[in-house]
Amino acid sequence: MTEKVITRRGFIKLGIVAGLAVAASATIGLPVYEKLFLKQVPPEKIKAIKERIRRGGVQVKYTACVMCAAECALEVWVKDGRVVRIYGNPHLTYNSGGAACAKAVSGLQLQYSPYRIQYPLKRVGERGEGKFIRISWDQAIDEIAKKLVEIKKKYGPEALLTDTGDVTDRDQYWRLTFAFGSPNAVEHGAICDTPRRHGPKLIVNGKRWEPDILRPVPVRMPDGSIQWYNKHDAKLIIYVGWNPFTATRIVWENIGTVRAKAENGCKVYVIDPGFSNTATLADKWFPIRAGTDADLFAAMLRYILEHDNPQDPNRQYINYEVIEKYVEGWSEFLEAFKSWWDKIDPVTGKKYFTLEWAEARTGLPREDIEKLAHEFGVMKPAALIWGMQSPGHHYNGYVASILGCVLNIITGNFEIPGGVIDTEIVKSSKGGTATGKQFNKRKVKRIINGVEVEAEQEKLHYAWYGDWPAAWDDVVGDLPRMIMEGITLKYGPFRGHKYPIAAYILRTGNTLVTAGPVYKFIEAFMAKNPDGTYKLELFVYIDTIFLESGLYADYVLPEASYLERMSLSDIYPTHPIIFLRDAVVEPLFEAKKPTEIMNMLAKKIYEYEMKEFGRSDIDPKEFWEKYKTEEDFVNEMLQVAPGRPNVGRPLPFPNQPEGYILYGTPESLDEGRVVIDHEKKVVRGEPVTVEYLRKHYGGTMWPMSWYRYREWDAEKNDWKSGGIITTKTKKLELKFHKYETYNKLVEEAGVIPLSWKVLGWEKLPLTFYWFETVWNYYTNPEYAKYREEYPFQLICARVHHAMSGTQMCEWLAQTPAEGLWIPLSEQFELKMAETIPGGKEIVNVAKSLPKNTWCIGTAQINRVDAEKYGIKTGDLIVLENPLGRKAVAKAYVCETVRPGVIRIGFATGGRFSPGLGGTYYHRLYTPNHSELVDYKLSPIMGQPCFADMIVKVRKTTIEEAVNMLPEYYRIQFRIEGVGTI
Amino acid sequence: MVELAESRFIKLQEELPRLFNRWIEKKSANPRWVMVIDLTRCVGCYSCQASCKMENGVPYEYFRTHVEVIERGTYPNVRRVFLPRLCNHCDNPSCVPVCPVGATYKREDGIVVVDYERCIGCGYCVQACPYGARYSNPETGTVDKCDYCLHKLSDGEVPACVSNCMGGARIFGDVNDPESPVSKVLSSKAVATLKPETGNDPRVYYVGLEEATKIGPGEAIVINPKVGGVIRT
Amino acid sequence: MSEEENLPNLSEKEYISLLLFRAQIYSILRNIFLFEPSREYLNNLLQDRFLNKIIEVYPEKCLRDSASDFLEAVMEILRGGENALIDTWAEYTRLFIGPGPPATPPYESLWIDEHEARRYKGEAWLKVRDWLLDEGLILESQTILEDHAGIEFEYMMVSTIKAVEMLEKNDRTGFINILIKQKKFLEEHLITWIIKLCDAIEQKSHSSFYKSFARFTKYFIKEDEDLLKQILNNL
Repeated sequence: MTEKVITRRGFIKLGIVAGLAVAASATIGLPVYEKLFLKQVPPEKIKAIKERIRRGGVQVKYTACVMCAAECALEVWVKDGRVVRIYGNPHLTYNSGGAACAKAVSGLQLQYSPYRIQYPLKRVGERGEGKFIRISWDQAIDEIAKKLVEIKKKYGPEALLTDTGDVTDRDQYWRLTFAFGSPNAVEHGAICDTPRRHGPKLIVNGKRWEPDILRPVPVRMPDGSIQWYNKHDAKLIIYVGWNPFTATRIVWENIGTVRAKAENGCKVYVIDPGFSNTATLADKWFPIRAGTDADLFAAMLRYILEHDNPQDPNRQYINYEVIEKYVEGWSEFLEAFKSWWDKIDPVTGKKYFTLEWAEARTGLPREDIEKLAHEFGVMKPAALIWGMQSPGHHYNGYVASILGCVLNIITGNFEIPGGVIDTEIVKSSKGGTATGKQFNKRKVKRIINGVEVEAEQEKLHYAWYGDWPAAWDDVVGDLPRMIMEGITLKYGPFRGHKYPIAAYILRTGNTLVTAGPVYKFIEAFMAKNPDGTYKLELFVYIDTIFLESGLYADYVLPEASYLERMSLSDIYPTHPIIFLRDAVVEPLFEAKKPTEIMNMLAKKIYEYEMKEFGRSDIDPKEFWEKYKTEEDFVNEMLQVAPGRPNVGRPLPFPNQPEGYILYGTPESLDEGRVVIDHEKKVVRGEPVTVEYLRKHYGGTMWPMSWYRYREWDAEKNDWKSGGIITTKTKKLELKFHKYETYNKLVEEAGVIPLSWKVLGWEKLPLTFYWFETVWNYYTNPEYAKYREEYPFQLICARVHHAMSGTQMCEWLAQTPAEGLWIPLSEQFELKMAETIPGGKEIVNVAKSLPKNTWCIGTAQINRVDAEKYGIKTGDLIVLENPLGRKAVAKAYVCETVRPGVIRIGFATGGRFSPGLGGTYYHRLYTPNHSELVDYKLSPIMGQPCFADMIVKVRKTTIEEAVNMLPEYYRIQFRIEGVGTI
Repeated sequence: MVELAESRFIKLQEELPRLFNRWIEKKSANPRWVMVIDLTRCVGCYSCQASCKMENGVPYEYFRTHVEVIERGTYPNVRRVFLPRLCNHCDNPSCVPVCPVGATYKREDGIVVVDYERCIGCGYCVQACPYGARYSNPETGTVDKCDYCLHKLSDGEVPACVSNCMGGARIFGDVNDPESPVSKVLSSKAVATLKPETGNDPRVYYVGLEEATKIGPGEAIVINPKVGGVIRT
Repeated sequence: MSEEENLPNLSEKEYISLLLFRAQIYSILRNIFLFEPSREYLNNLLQDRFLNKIIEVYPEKCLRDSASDFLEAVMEILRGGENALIDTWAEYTRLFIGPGPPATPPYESLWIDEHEARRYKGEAWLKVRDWLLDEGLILESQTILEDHAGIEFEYMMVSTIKAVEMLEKNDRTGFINILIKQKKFLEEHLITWIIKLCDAIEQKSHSSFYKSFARFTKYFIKEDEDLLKQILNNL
């Protein structure tokens, strides 16, 4: 080795390196068998990887909750195929700018619950025994399809009633039902609060009136830009029987109320027999008697009419311009209303609708009623909002609903900033042809009394042409009678036609517990023919969780949870917003998505029908050939978004014709990439798709505007009524033209529905009407005889749950609420969904929980009442109604409920399905409200009267309680696969 | 098809988290993290309580944060107040000096933390805290407490209890930054702290605390999910 | 160690030569750290005469000497037959893999001073990984991490080749930028720990192959820091 000392330059100049492998490629000096570890990737991929790393190897996805009816927009984090975090989606405004309540977060415990249904089950033994065996999907689908076709052959397809229960993303099941040939598809709406929605439907063809407190909203600026309008305008909100802080259904009312008060000095009044959580923030709590909302509204209206004075600034209650231009039938309504003013009410001895009369009825001091009436009249903008529990659950809820609308309208608060918005007629449409309603237009033939009749399939509807001609939201509360007696059509072209309800598919619903008296439903599901077979020949239960109704099913099918399936969120904002429910993880166990279940059943039915009939009502091109994935289905549902007219001010799309219905993405509408049909008055932009929504943080929106009930008429150079109002006259109709169709139907048949007859009606009145509620001795003389023995009004209220399917979620058992859901449990053992250190994932463990660590349903009672009976908090009491039905509860004694009222939490107690996890263990000493409900359905819509009941109370012991409750509480059910992880 | 990155609607959506204080925008050189709980905005939803469990793996029986419900008054003049509680990240914490192994300390940025590697699980600090903010976790054999979701803070995100709060009652930020949400609240509203008489100098502030804890006529009914049952005082 | 002589301006061809030279060395460093040497590879090292050239003419004595020792060790292994090769592999495993804690784990995180960071996937690993991402590079491996010495050397190698490509395309700015980044990487990462690692290998290894290799690596890293400094001064 020589020691040549040369310079570096020299070294290089020697061309040493030049002589070596000079290929400027990545193979320098590389042994043949190795390749590079580092890979060059494009910038977008780096960006995505960085984002994932930033969140610890987590994928961020956007979806929609289902833990309550609010269906908030969620941001979920997924790691290794499991959901690890649930937050609100901060890129959409619907839920308080990205908030997520305890229910949303506890969704993790539903998703990973040990009580999920793991595989298909088939009943062995009798219904209600809870004995099931595991079967395969193939076997389940095969047997169900075969049975359905059998039933179709025997009775016709209309013998199938599909009930898609409490969760709204149900279009696949409706489509299947309609295609099969049955128009009988119903959902939870039928038992929710139909009287509450009644006024809005009649008057504006709408549904839900909410205060204009969704903020921020996107509005069009004069310069063409769109900006967030984040200011609150409301000055007064009156919540009657409505509790947004706990019953979070219209979730933005939660923070909206807080902010309106804090930022705009908005006054909030809460009118409720119970001191709800919303009342904690209110300026005043008016502890009204249960079931007297209509009375309050009538008195407010009379007061406003009698004291309005356009000349006095302190009495300018009524907006005459609105009435004159945009309201139909006001003078008749006024006349009908006033016709009661001189009549004496037999119950109170006072003239109807006066302050004294209302004081006697509602139990509120007349000064308070006067205050409410005056302030609502003079403070603007104001919103009078009425609720689901009340008046929605009262026999005469319609009266309150109509009066509530009238009050908002005549005071000029409808559709103004800070006033009242009908969210149904401004929200984005969805569903379209995917829902399959077009199949109901098929012409079908039936032989009735030897004569062949042909008409549209929908005329076979079990309720609209059965006993409930005006029940446009269907009737589920009457199912027990319908199963026992069968359906006889009384109206329409098919009148005289008879068929049983032979098949019942119940999806994500729990009618046994949520649709009326439990024992009535059990009786119907258990009813047998003389030959020993069940009257209801087929009962299929489809859900992710095993609720009480499942105990009576013949087949139980596990459906993918809300985190495992794709659909659209069903929301009620004040302007069109739409967001996606995305399948963020794969279904656990053998759960299947609704689109798969629909396709599997459709195919099998098709096969059996081809075999049996040589033809099928199921067209493969309308099912599995068309919808290969759930994305295909949802894309079709999105075709009709937003489907609302370009109206209001500021005009949402000034570059598009006013009044035309808009379809398509906001970008395409904004930028004019549209096709305009001047004949149909429709503007079609680029359709919203699943991909589009994913690129928009899960959801999108179209601009907000107000005064949407009017359009600018260029010819007349004036405003005209219309826009979002799609009633017959395009006006706000206080002459109820909507009833005319039903009256005609009834007249043609010459049969008056029983529920109308009871009211003394031969037809539905086309203007103001009044009738009393039931089980209420303060307002209805028929019940005076019960007053002494049954001194308590029984009402149901809400806790931090929703529907009846979340009560197994453990974190929600630590959310005490309103005296109804209190940690007074006995010590018990359970399997639970539990987090692990670091919150890495949810696992299933067995634990023993000490006394008082789990919230249970209690009966809330005022201290003054409790003292009379010697009842203290924690004492076991029994509630008994005049029908002899009983429920047991631990008492919660307090000051926060009106004396003479007992309040129970909905679905909080007496939960007798093991699928309810921890809550199941406390069924013997917690109250099931549905045990005490009467089989009483309100007229017109057939809504169960959940809030009309009276009870008596006494102390009891656990031994006595156990014996007085029905048997199904005492059985320890063990369901195959449920809770066996 | 327009470049969606230029969509004005997406831009609007991207403004929202800022509008709602979901992210920690600016970090000053020496941040001091502080929380303000506005009791006039708390709707009693328990989201904070549950979100914290989800975020930090807190077992069922224990709580890093919880909400108490206090009912006062006589029908019909009644009040119900929700009182969210958590570690107060005191400036003079009584939990720190009692630790025999020095596993707990107050950071520069104000957060009182536990070094889980050092902690031996003796539980002295649990007893020393006048607020009952700590607990012994049987799974890990160490104590545990609120750390303002440090793992999220380093990503510029607020703690889980803050982002999921329904009423916007939990306000979090850097008190050394005059533009932060906490600074704005502290400079515009009257605040108070819990148990100032302990001398711990707690740094979680409450708006509307006096109103909430006012001793009025009649007894108070308190429901605390941490303790269970119904307590009458 | 470095000579006082400054590097004068070079022609484009000369820059390319220099870059390729550096890439070639980094390739060797990368290979020896990442893999047990195969017989084939060792033969290649001998036959392509690259190391010989360095031994003959490279200005730096330390580099010449350590390269010479290294080549000697390679020849010894090749002469020693199967057993010698297997012993080398065993030594590789003992130094860098295990079982139990390896004698000289080749991960930057474990050699940085701050006591909290002294673990796998520590602060240093995070920084290297983010550095690579910023360069558009991801590591495809289930078994090793970004702050493995071999990966850091692979990075230097591929970025040097990229710099050659830039020059060939006449992208002078791109070429300079890469060199700036490389200098930064050397200073913030390689220099801070490779020397420590190599000293430890020299101390703990029984094999002259790895001892000499460690020395060679150490000296080259220092040399490259210098080289880059001087190139950039001229540009």
